Amino acid sequence: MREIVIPGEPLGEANQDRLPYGVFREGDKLYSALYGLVEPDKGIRITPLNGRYLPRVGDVVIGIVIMARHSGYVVDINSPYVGHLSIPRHSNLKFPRLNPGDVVTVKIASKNEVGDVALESPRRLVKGKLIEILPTKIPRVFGKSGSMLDLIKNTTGVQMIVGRNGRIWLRGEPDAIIKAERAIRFIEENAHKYGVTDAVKKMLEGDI
Amino acid sequence: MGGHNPGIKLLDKDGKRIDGRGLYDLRPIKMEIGVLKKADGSAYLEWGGNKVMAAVYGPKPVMPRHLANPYKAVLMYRYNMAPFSVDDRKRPGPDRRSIEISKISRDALERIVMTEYFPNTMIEIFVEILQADAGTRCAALTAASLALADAGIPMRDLVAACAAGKIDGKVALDLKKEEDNYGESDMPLAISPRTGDILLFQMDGLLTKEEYLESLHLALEGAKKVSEMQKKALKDKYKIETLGGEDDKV
Amino acid sequence: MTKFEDEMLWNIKSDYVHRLAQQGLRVDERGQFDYRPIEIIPDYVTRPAGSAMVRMGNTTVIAGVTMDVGTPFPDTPDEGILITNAELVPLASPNFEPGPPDEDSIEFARVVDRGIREGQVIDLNKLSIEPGEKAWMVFIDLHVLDYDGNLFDAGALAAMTALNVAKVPKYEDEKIIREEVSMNMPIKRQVVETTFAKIDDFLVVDPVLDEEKSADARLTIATTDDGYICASQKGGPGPIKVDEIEQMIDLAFEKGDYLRKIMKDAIKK
Repeated sequence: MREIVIPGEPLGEANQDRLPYGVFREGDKLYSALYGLVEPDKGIRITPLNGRYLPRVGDVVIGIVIMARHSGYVVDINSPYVGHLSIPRHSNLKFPRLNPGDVVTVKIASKNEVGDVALESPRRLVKGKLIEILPTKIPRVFGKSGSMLDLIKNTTGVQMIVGRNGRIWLRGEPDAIIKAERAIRFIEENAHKYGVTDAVKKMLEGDI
Repeated sequence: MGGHNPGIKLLDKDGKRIDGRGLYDLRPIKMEIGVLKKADGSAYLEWGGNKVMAAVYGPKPVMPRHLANPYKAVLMYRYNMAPFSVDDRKRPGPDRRSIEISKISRDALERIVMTEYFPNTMIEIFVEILQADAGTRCAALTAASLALADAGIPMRDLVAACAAGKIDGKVALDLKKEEDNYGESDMPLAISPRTGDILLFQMDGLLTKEEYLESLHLALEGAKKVSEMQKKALKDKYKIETLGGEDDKV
Repeated sequence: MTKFEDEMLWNIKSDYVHRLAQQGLRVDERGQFDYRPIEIIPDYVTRPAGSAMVRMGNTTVIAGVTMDVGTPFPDTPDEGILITNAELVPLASPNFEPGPPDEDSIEFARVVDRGIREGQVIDLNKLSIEPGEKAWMVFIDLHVLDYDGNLFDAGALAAMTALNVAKVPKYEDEKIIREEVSMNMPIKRQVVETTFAKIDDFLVVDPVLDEEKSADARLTIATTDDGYICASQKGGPGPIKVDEIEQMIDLAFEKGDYLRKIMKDAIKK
């Protein structure tokens, strides 16, 4: 059963060393630091209801190139931390020529304790609509094994690239984009409820 | 703190206050969470005649960059009164009172917000007083705490605030405007409800030691009641219902 | 985000807005000349003489009308004084910074003021207390709570509503007695403002933030309930054409009547 927890709410006894994000220990008890969802039978883990994107190594995100430097680019990744994309000196892979204002997908290569974030594998995105949703709702847009993503793509016909940082790139006919966006916003608002997949399916099928 | 006006009686012969409350009654409080579109987190609060809007932006990169702290997020708290929030129009912009309130409110949140999670960033907290009826700094901090939770900022606890004072010789909870203007003392206080730690505390007026302690305990009790309301408002906001069809899990 | 980074994000969104505009479509599926859903709450706060909150889509503005007594201007000794101020408080947008009013908040205040002043909304003669010596000062304070495009129309509507419900306090023995009312605010006209944005050649009414940032130009037209235009303001670097203005005038009257009706209904309730 899903439950809402609030900052300072006790979660149980502390019997593990590595604590998930948003869980802290005081004495021998664990507490939630976040306003979020827990599923107690699934262990101590909080899904925050909101929060800005914090870069995780391996995540694919959608960034906006801010500035070009001789060694690479500064990229906005919709996070309190800005990303740095270095141009590799020797590489077999094609590295695209980028300009400030370009929208790219990039992967988080590494990050350190003071918040420097290194990016890799850029790919330019052109001619679409960039939308932003709460990063905490992105897993729901993917769905189990990408099932929700496939559902939206197949029923509307849009091309969709979903960044873990809350940014989504949609490309297609205007009304297809509108349908897809409507479904995405619906997921964003109802992510904490049960039955979202079916409701979205009905919504998309009804729209057509 | 205003002057004493012997003409105004703040307590009637039955000990009831001008708005009908007993000495230890809180004014009615209404809390709404997530009311603004642009802010990362927000909360609206009505507390008696107070109307307060709080918004949080962040964590975000620090501007200007020389203020960044490589070990934690920097907190910025701005308490501001709208010109129409008081009877005699208040000139827009920060005055000395607002600056002091902003400072002590930021201090109250400093150890509660887990700033160590976000080095080199800042978290901005803005509170606008749209209508003032005494106790605005308490209402503001209470709303700010909700807005921080709404923004997904990790905190060790919520922060709840309440004030007590002295009117017509008696210690009373949660003064309204006239009681604050013509009363003999005002004591705002904010706590971390889980631990009872006091995070904000001020007092003005003339109190004996007994009255001071009585006032302190009364404000503490008031703050605890406020924190129960915060908890309820946060929990009630998201109904974990089932949409249409069967259960589904991610 | 710095101002530069912010502009970058807008360029991307702007591309999309322009592409839709070429097909005669808007980002939020609205009709070309439709306003977003509007909510008006008169007397939203109770301290000032009058107030109102207006929501136009997500854009939320409060107007407060406060009264004070001061010395009339020497060139208008038997008239009250109108002063309009706007606060783009940082709470309302990631792009608003704390500090003294910047050019955007100054333009916002002055455009709303112009509509009310030039439209002679308030009968300022009735607000004279002692000619040459004392007169009522009417302060209109616009406080933005949520910025999602088109502050002018929302602000002007909030100000007009607040003026309609405002009560002038009593002035006796050199003191303002706020708890007592001497009269309703003396109102001669109902003025509202309608803002158009031009995206390439596509004209839209009530631009939402994405449209406002992408527009090449904008035009705000203030209309009165008795068929006059009393103020106009063009903004943005792009040009507008004369025939576009002619088209916008007709729409401004039509939309103006629409806004006046919503306001009237809200006040009646």
